[in-house]
Amino acid sequence: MVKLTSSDGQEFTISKEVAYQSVLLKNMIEDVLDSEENPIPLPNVSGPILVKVIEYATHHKDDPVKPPVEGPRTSEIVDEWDKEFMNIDQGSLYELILAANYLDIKDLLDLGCKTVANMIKGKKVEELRKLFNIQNDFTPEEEEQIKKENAWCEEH
Amino acid sequence: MSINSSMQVTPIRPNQTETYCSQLISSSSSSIHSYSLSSSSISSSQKSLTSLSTDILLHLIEYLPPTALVKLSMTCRKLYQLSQDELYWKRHIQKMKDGLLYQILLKHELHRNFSWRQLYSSVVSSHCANCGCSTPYLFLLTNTKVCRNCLETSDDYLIITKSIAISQFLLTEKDLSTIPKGIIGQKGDRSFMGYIQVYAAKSVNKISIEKWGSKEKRDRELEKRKRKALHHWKQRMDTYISFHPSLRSKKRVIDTQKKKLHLSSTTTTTSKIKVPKRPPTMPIILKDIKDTIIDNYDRFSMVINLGFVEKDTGRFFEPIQCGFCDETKKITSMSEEDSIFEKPCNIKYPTIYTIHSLKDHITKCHIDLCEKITNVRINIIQNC
Repeated sequence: MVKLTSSDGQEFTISKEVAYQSVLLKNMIEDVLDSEENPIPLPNVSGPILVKVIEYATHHKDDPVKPPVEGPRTSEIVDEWDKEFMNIDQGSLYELILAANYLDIKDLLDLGCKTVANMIKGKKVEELRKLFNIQNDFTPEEEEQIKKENAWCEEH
Repeated sequence: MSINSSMQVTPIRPNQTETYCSQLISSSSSSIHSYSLSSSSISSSQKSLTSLSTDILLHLIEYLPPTALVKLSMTCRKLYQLSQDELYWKRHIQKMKDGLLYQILLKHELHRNFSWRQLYSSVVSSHCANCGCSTPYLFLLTNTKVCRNCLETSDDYLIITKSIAISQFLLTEKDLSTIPKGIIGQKGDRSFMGYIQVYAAKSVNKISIEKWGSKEKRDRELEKRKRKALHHWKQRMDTYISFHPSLRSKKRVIDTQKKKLHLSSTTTTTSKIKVPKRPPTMPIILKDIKDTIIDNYDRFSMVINLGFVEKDTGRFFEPIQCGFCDETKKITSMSEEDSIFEKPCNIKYPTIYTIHSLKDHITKCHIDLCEKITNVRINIIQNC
């Protein structure tokens, strides 16, 4: 068993098997003596997000290792459980992606990125700005230039 | 360790964690509850996509198709810069047309002069940059889409040789290394004296003006050099004529006589003076550029045919040619001007790249061919 402490001081106890899904935790557990006694602090992950991460790691603990994908990737999420798991609000989604990146859980990071990619697909520029709260910081001239440069995109 | 899968609707607020924490810590030893992360949690609605770190965003864009990435790049500066990720565009070009296109672009080293993103956008755009009509041709030297008519008539697609570029545009080899170079002539093609290096006159002119500051400055220098070259050439011509008296009367001597003359002249004069055997060739700088421009025949070798465009609908079709059976399938409503591609080995246009992706057909042909070979083998074995 491994103990983890989130940024807001919550303590979680999980099995090593689950913890090993994270490359960061795996390295820590292997390197640190008495890792079973002392909780591992995770100052970059909040409690609620760590709950989600643990939920994901527990569900996927028995998954076989996937071979790396060559060439352009698709954003299609095949697993129904994953789809439902990712049905969360945007703020949590970003936090989950950050946590996955920090804890080095590749599959969860991929899943998070795929989810965002699916939200981006098929949207117009203005819709994207609104949906992702992006500030338009182009000057009108720059915007005109970029529109011209990307005119090919309108044909498709 | 079990996870309670029942979703409890408990809004999580960071500033309320104290009470929430104590609840959780007390329960954490036995089980972990999974909480639904409701949209009411603070900060979520305020957060922007751009708050994610660059490496995460770079990872994210890998999952986007090009059109979606372009749309995203048009939202703000940070995302625009990220969308220039060359690896992304390279990977997408590698995927196109079974990788054939990638190989052609590499062969011409186009990636040295254009970014993969630029290459991608010109490959997928379907309109002639000059007249706006639909076209499948990509002019390699300037990375622009062009229709056949414009390719043959517009000065934007003139091709000049390296020697012209150096002498008449007052450039050095080093200057030329910054613009795309084409090579005319194929391996085993005996009609050429090896490979000819060519450049697009438009790009050459551009870097030449950049180098000399202005067109006027360059032209003045060119005029100066031309006069010098002309003077020098005239001198050499005079020397040549003086050694060959028969030429004074401007009569052409036949070869045998020439040889005799030549022999006699060498024997009569002292060996110290070098006697020109042939009249000095005109310096390239003095030639009219129009005479040396590579003609349409070679312009076409600098073009990739990316597919057919149906005239009525503007739909794209890929040229189809099977490498195994030499069969070329005619696609319905293929326009007349494209019909030359029915025979990709047409003598008139020998090096146009036709790209096929008729995988099924090719695979079938390959299998047929293999079967034929094995049949022959079987026959031979049976006969034996």
